[in-house]
Amino acid sequence: MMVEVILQLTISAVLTGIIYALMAIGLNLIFGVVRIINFAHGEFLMLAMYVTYWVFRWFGLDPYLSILISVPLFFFIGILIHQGVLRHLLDGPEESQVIATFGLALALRHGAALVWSTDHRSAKSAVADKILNIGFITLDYPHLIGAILSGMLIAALFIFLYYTYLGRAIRAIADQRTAAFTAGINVGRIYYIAIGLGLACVAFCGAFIIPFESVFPTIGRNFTLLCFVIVVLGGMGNLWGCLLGGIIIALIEMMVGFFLAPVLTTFAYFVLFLIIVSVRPAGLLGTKGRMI
Amino acid sequence: MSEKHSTPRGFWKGMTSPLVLLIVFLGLAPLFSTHPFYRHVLTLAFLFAFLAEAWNLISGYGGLFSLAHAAFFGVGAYTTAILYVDLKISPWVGLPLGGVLSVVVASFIGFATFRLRQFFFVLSTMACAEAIRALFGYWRLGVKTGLGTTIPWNAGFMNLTFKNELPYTYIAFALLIIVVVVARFVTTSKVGYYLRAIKDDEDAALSMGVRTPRVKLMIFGMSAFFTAVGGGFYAMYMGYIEPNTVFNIDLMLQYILYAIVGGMATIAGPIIGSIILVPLMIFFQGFIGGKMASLGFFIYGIVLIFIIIMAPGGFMQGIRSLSKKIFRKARLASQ
Repeated sequence: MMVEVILQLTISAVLTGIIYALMAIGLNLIFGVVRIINFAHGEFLMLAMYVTYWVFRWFGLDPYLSILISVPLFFFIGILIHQGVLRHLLDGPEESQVIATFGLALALRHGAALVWSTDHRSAKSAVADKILNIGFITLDYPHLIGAILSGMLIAALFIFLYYTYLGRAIRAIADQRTAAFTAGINVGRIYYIAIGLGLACVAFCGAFIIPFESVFPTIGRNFTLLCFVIVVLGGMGNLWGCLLGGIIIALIEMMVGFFLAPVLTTFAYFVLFLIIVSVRPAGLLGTKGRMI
Repeated sequence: MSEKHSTPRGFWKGMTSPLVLLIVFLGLAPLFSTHPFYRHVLTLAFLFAFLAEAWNLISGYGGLFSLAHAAFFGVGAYTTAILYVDLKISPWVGLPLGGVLSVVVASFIGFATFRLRQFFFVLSTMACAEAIRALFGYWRLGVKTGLGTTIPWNAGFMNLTFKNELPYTYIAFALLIIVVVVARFVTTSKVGYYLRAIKDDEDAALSMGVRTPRVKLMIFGMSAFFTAVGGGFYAMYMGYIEPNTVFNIDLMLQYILYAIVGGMATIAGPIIGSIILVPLMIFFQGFIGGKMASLGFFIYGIVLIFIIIMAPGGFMQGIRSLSKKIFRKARLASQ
């Protein structure tokens, strides 16, 4: 019995973890390439979930299909945000980045509460209610589809970053901003692309998460912290680190939530975060000084 | 921002400065009207100025952007409230005791986070605050009175509970005076120099023989102490607390914002920021209220972004550059 429960929790955690990983990779891209600490990351996820929700409500479009609208939209929003806010913070002290993105988070969160009230809203996909039974393991489709699609996207992002000119340019900037600049890479333009990509990841996650979790304005902050914990845990600028970190965090969330108390999940992963930060600041898979 | 690098003057020098005039004016302000609501606004403004000033000690002067203050505030509030409600101990004992307890918490957090770079520091302090909030939430779940703690109303000076508003206003004002004097004393002392040196370049300060961990811990502890006292006062003043309100990061963000808008690393900045913004906040939350209660925070967010991009020195920077201009004009006119 115990073994079955643990196996069930582990599999659920891995599925959730992969979705978390995609979200964290978005943050990692922005942090690694542009060196901006984006405290509004979770708020963008909240926004993406709302976009998915409204597309579902207005056009009756399945959440998984709404990515056709939300992903380009968020790429564009990323460019706008960089143009309007982040661009001015590039060479400033880190604290001003923290303050400004905190302000952005505040404005987004309460702006959402203002426009859409604090009700919990959820959009159901056509496949949402189905459940898959394999032996004694029970899987629900939203997690399964979300995880598979996230996994495919992570793989695609990996191919993009390692085998295309643009991807290599992004990695070059993450490695050595000045050297990349002298090599003739248009650093300013790559920043826009990196932030756009980061938010596109978030838009995907919004669509994947909403079938199993309802959206409300304050949902973002938990996710911001979650993403930071995952990124730091796995290693700044490491794609595989995000995957590992996402799965570990989801595991902790499941186990602590099941065996102790759901209230304590935050406590557990922040304690883990503090331990990692003080014992191995580079993260599990990170190498010092290397980003993306 | 130009002032922060200038040498601090002596403690007594400049005591007839605009700052003192401002404080004297604020001290008289509660008497301008006897309306309880007017005094309520002032009480909150003083309390938030006090909290902003405490936060400014470590984060403005020391350059360590701490988000752990939510935890100090909550620890202070809960210590005072629990001692008073469950053990019938006077809040006048509870306030400093909460302060001491949060100094202990602060030293743990300090040990864990001071070695970290700016960004990791911000995140870790936030992680600490959230972890402690979760722990308190878990602990209070088991309490039979429900999640929150209600403070019984029993007027009397020893209970820090009063029939009318004025005593609260003046106690908040007294707290503000204390923290201003301490901030003035610290920033004009040797430790103040050390702190600025650490802010400018920690490695350089270390190699010059400044015991950076000790200085940081000292100021962090001091800041935590005051924040906890503020939390205790808040608990007594509001009469009801629960983990999600007193450990709330949004509550902390308010006084951080006041310090930033007023001007970090200045003494007058947090006061001016609070005096201007607290009434606005109350207006948004109380008057417009209901569904529009979020409007205040929404505007705050926008203001934060603008301040950082346009005028990172906050309100004080504006005042300084304006007064400089006026002086220059006056000097030109006299020549």
